[in-house]
Amino acid sequence: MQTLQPTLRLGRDVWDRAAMPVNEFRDRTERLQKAMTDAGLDALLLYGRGLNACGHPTYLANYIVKLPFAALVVLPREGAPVLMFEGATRGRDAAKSTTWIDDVRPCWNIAETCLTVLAERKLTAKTIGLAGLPRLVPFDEWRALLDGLAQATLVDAEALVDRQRAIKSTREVALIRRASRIVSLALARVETMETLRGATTESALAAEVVRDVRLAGAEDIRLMICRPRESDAAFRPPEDSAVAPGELLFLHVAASTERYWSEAIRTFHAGSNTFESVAPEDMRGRFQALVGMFRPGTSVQDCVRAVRTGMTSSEWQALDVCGGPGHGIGVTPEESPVLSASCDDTLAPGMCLTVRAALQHENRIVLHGETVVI
Amino acid sequence: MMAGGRKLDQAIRLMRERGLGGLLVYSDGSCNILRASYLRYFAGFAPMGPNNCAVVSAQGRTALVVQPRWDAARAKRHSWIADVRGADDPVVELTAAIHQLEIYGPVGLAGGGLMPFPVREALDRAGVDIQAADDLIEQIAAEKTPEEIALIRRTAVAADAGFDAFHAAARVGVAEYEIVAEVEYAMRRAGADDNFILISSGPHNRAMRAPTDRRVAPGDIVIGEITPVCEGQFVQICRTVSVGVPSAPLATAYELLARAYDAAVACVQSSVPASVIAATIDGVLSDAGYGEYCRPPYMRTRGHGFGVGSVAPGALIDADTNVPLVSGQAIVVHPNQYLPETGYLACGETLLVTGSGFERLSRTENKLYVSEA
Repeated sequence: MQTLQPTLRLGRDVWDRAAMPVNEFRDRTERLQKAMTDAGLDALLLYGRGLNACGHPTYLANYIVKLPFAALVVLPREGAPVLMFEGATRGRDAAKSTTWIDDVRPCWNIAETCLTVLAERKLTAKTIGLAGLPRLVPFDEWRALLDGLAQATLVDAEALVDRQRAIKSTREVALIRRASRIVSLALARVETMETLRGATTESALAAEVVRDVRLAGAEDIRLMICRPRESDAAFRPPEDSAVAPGELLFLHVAASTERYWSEAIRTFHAGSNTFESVAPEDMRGRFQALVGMFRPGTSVQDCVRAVRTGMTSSEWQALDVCGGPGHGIGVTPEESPVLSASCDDTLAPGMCLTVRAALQHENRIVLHGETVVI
Repeated sequence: MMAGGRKLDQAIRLMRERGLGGLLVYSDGSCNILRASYLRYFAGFAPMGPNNCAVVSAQGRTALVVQPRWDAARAKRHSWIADVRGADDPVVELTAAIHQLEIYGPVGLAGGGLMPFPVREALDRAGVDIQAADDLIEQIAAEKTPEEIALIRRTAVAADAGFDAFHAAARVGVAEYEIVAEVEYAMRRAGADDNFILISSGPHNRAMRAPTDRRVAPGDIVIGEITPVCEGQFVQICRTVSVGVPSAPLATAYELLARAYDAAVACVQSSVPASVIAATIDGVLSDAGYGEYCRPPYMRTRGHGFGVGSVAPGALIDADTNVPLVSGQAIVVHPNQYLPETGYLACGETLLVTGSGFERLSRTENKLYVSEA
């Protein structure tokens, strides 16, 4: 789900080499280089920008941007990749502590540095695949790249990278499970909070949850609230308004640890003293039945149609508050495949998805979302 | 909802002075301490999606295009712009709004440095004659309203709460990420809606960065850049905590930085070039024999502005920042510095520039702090 980006990713920033060893990244690199060979690419540019859309370089480098800047990995068909990121040179040591790539270049002009690297590798007149470009690149930077690559053949290679990223390795799934445990902890924390008979505000609730999630080792956290009694209700960042007793509250929590995200949505009822989770048995059963439709070999389109059929019109429409039934999740909080009737992808083992459902329970809509692995 | 009358009136006046038929104020949804968010300032709304834009005609008609579509209700509540358009395809909505608001001729673009190629190319294809207009918004923001000054002071209160938590948490056995968690919590409870916190701990720090698993040990120096954000306004304090009795070199080094800080802020007042701050700090350090350390990678900058309507463009305050300081600006002055005897030390805070000097915003003293070993 799209969320408000913080000004800085300020949580625990480490690279646990036991959980994600260098060999994992070498394997990713080799598989991408094989795909490049098959596609006739001499080089691949993996570009990302901001805290929500930096997945391509993170996937290959394990580097994440902390401020909303850009990063780029140049991957030649043969040889070692180069990582560059917007930032001061003094950030190189911190970057090198979380990436396996030896050639790390902080810079303030990604286009210029990219052209330098491509020239060093004699690739400026070759066939270059693009992932994240020009989709995310500022106008002037893209024009500078185009000028410098006038002799190159540029090919859209985003699908090539998306396909590989979509299938998670065992280690990636393990980290997503770890992130899921942090998300569960956050949701459990809400149930221990007092409503103070209407004195608890959304922002106070968020402060408590965020603290616990940070202490559990989260690298990043996003928390969104939807109050269905509001007109035009939709998920939004917490504000200073108090939660009234008797009110229903939808809570979205996404957290990442060591690059990997998990997301969940739960419904809470503000009692006179505490927040109570609204997750009745029949609703859980329906949700499990919906998730059960997501099987390897099934097309995303068929899954979405089945989910649509399994929900009433009002239930389906209620998913508008969060942008739909879900999407892939991994090194970014929202990635391919998008669960929509127009998605051409087929589900495969190792895909990690966030799946959401709106379900009627006792004359009210209850929202529920989970991160699942296919 | 923020009142937008003054901003709109000024925008219309400036557009007419420049012969612009309209103004686009763009945001890619990011909030960056080093780059102003013109849309957040102008529209009073922090967008979530990747492409968002306020559209203003020279006749004063306005529209606000936001992503995702379902965030439109929040935009309507926060922004003074009534015509909010939630967009599945922001390019289509943006070009439609330009057409519907009957904008003709050259169009100013603020925030265009972040606009991705496909969006800008679509505007070009639609025949929109774009001219850079970041300075137009900076000009509007140069004059601070009482509400904006009050927001700066409110944010400073959160920064003090953050430092209190930093000082309390910087103790033996506590991990860096746990310290940051407590600082963030304190600042959220004090009203911050976002936070920028850098930290480092150890006997000899090299720079501040995101927190790691490292646990504070006896004799450590813990440094922090503590920056709460309230409604887009940043206020920063930089502090150093000695875990245990400070060594003589540390006490001496910090005294030097404090002296450089005091000398620099003594120069701060409206109309003084911002470069004087950097020159003064560098002068004190050079006189003490550290001239070669007055450049990267031993330091980054001697301070910076915060967001729209502060020291701009680029926000950094260095020897080349010759723009004059302006009354009402919030600026941070920080002689944060690597010294060979002690490592990197943090020292400094945010000031409010006034006609006759400056107003300290922080309640906490700018000194070397000590926690029990």
